[in-house]
Amino acid sequence: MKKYRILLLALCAAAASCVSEADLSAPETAATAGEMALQTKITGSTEGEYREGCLLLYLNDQTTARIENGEMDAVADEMFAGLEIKAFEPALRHAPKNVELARELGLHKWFVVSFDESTPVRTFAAAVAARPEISAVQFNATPKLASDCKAIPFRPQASLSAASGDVMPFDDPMNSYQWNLNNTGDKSVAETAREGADVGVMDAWKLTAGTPDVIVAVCDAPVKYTHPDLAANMWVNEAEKNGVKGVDDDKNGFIDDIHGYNFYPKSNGTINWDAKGESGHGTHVAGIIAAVNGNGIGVSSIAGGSGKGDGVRIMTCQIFEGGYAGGDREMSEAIMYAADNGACIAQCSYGYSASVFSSDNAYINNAPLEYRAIKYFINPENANHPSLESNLVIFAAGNEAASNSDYPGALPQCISVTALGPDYLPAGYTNYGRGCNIAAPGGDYYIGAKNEADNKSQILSTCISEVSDDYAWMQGSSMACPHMSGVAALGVSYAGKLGKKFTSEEFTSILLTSVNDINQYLAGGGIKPYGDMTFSLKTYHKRMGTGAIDAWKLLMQIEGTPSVMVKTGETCTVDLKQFFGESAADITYLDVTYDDEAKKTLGFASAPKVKNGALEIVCMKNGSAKVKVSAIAGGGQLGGGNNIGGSEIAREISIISRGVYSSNGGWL
Amino acid sequence: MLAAIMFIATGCNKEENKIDYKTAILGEWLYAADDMGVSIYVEFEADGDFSLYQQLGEGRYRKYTGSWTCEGNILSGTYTDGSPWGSSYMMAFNADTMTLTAQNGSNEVMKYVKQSIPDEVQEECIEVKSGGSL
Repeated sequence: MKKYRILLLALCAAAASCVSEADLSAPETAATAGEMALQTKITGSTEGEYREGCLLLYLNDQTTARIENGEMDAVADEMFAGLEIKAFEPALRHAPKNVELARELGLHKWFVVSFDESTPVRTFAAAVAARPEISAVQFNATPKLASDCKAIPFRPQASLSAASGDVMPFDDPMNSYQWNLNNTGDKSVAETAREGADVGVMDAWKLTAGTPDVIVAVCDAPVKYTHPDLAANMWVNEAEKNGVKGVDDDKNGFIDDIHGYNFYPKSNGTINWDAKGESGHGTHVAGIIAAVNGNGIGVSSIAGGSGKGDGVRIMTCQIFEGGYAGGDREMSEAIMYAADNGACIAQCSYGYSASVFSSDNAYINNAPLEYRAIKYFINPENANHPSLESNLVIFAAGNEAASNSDYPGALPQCISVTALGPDYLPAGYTNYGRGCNIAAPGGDYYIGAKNEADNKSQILSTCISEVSDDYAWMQGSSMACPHMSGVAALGVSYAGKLGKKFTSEEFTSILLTSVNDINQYLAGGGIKPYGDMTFSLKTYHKRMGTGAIDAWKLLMQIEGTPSVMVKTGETCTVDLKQFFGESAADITYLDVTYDDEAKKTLGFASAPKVKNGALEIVCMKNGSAKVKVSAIAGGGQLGGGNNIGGSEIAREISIISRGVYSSNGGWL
Repeated sequence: MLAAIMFIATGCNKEENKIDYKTAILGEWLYAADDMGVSIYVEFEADGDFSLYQQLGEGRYRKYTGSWTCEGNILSGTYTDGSPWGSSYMMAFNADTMTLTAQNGSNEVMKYVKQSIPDEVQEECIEVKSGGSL
């Protein structure tokens, strides 16, 4: 490819000379033709941070067709005439099987041009934006990890009592400190620690502790795949493991991707946890989901198996390195890689700060590449587990203590997870409110023992000995997110065991309604410490999502939710807790729908409706039929369009109307 | 003819009167109809306790417990959480079949057959503690 000499100084000079006195009062958009073009074609946010030395370009159909016909160099010659570039290439790789899907989403029209980092991105963008071949340009924006990334090494101390008692079923010696898995309310964790404020996995483990056919892609900093407590649960690409080093043995477009791939710019794809500034964030996240259970070392995890090599598998998709973030392109490619290589859950503890995007449209218009990559991941064509009709995307809500979720988590297509401490109360850092769907343990240093050596109110998980220790405490919605992913992985495992299959709507709905109530602790006038400050709990009332995730409740919903009985001829109210979780009374309901057959069978005297968290129904005939109740998971407003809001969920409720009815639901 | 009918009726009554309902009800029963997609097992014990295992449509069996009493051929009971049954029932037995007819005005009829409660139902059920909660 030719090298192009950039003429930016000349362009700037020419532009300046063209600006008349009258133009001085005109908007900035009149500055140059290139800048004007840029104003109409720019899509990526220029307000936040972005990667230098590269620009994403969305080309028109004609130009894309030329490139597909082998005219890449000729197109580059024309588009970048007079500019010096380093490379021009397709922005994304995808599996051959997904050619049509990628085209459908327009992903084949995205390219990336690289240039010297000394050239400001905006200057380069303005220089090319007017080109007719280019339909849109996007800065390669960089998100943030949803954690302070402070890994506090685990140091067992005699003075520390065990947080979760001695009832854990696995012989992992540190699991007594994992209140997030089994919270006994131990006051040495926090004075306010609450028994049962955990993910409810103890009973769930009696049914499943994960299955290896469930692959969770940890899109994050690197997962140390040699970690003794993770190695056995790492996803293995057998073709690459048994193949030739330096060769793309499985022809998936990625060389030597044995446990995943490093998408960070300028890497050679090798997962790298040695970089200066690395915190162990990705490894910590992975350990929450699938540290190996029952191996006699370290910690336990939600879906790390029963000690028989049967845990869910972790795929490491590295997009952060040494504390630095890859850009929108790298995030997108990582998510697509996960889809192409078998992951059914994308675990994403990062996002764009809550202040960057104010609505779904704002995100979609400014991060079109990543948005489409997410759509690629959740497209039914890419469903990677027989029990799911489409994959799941789970994001952290963010740590700015903001009243809405970070994006992309705020999208209705994603699950956004807020963070709780061991007291079932919001952690001071967590985002909440619009776009937040559900809560999970994220840790809360500030309610702990106020002792530097005692971090038990944070989350204990695997870490990297090279930068911290093999095990460390961390906190953040980054830690809450993998709790949700782990529970979801457990649910998919169990659905697989039972041979059940769910649509995306069905599975997301039962996930988001498998919750315990936390609003009861937020309604009063309580306050909670956050560093030197305090915050009012009332602020969070009904704004942490549907409630606190509970693994046991999820597995019970996967088994199936029983029918409810009503008495024929009487106005009956059906408590919706078993369908919408313990906070059912606090949820915003949208509609109750049913078909004519149901109406005929049960003889509705009036249209069933939801009132105060209960279904009000009057059936005049004995019989059984179904109604469907839809609601909003997270807040009082649906996301979509110019909104930022919750996701729509729906539950089918089987009604049995008969002449005998007991208030506790018993048959007799 | 009238005398014959009266004889038969009287004979029936005598037959009914011979039934010791408190004994006849003991044991394990299965609700015989499946028209509503339900599976119901109930065990009545001699000490006045009962265990009810119900699977309404989907999900695992829910176990309810409580106590029962019998006055003549009328059966009534209370769940452990204090909730009364939805009705009292008139009992009738025929071989291995028990018919319960609701006495709350609905006249709902439920037929049960003698059948052991499978071990897996008892082992894998979820016990309902109070007010329908698990």
